[in-house]
Amino acid sequence: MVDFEVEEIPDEDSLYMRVHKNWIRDGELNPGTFRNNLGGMSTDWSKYSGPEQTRNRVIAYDKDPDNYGVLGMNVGDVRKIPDQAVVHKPLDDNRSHTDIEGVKETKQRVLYLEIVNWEITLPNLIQE
Amino acid sequence: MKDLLANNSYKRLAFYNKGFINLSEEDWFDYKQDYMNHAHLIEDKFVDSNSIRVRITDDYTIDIPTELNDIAKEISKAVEFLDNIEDWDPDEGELYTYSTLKNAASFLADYSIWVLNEQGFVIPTPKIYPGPNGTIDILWKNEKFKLLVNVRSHPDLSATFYGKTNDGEEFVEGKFKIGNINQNVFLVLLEQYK
Repeated sequence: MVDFEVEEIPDEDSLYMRVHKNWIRDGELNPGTFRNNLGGMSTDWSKYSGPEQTRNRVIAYDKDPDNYGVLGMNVGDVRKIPDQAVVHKPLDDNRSHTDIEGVKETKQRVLYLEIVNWEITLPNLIQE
Repeated sequence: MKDLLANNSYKRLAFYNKGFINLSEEDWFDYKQDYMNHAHLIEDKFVDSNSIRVRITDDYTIDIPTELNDIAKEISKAVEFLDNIEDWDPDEGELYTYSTLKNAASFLADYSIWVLNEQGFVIPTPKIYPGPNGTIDILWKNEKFKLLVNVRSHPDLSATFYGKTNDGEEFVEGKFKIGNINQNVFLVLLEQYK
């Protein structure tokens, strides 16, 4: 049983998502970044996490945070993408944990490309 | 075959496990005898001299017209990525295989050749990326439109696509079998880049 209660996430808040350097090629973000893992796309809610915290969570898994960038996205924009649901799923070690549930087909992934921005960049990234 | 070589429209291209050799008919016999002692001949055929041969695997190549040089380069990059990948983190998901890459490269080559031959223009060059669950994403992204085609591991499995103009005025969406595509379906977007 997780200690934290599940909360409703308002549209005006942000979500942060780690991106491994392998999902960048020739300086551009690969749309395969947007995919489900165990039922949802894992993100952190800005109420309880900043971009740095999101990136550094990989240290607990013996991974190098320098290999990761962090994307930010507005919750309201995510909810405008068809069939996406923003669900707060706090974990014992991460109160901010939030899944974006729903299929990540070509349509959703193209639309995600249009709403994300880089909070922490990776080397050689081309920013628009 | 000598007639074909004489008008310079074809070249003799032999593909060995050690690479290409490309010789005149006059030099061919002697060289072949020597080279055969050191390499295994995989393919020996005459091809259009206006084409580029792209290696996907040692036994699978695709010929692409020189007008589509950038498309050929992008396919080669996807092959090199797979040839050289050493630090793919399995936690990032399954990476595509050469089999999936054959499907994606065949689609991209066939489609771009069809547009060139039937519509008379060179399509913009997309990026070929690893997609989710071992699939391949082919992404066109420019100031006018975005188009994403997702190719799966087996040619009998449908590829899916979604594209839109950046002003939101036009969009396309659907699925198709590799090799059995409705060739007109993407033109509403691609023609904007002519």
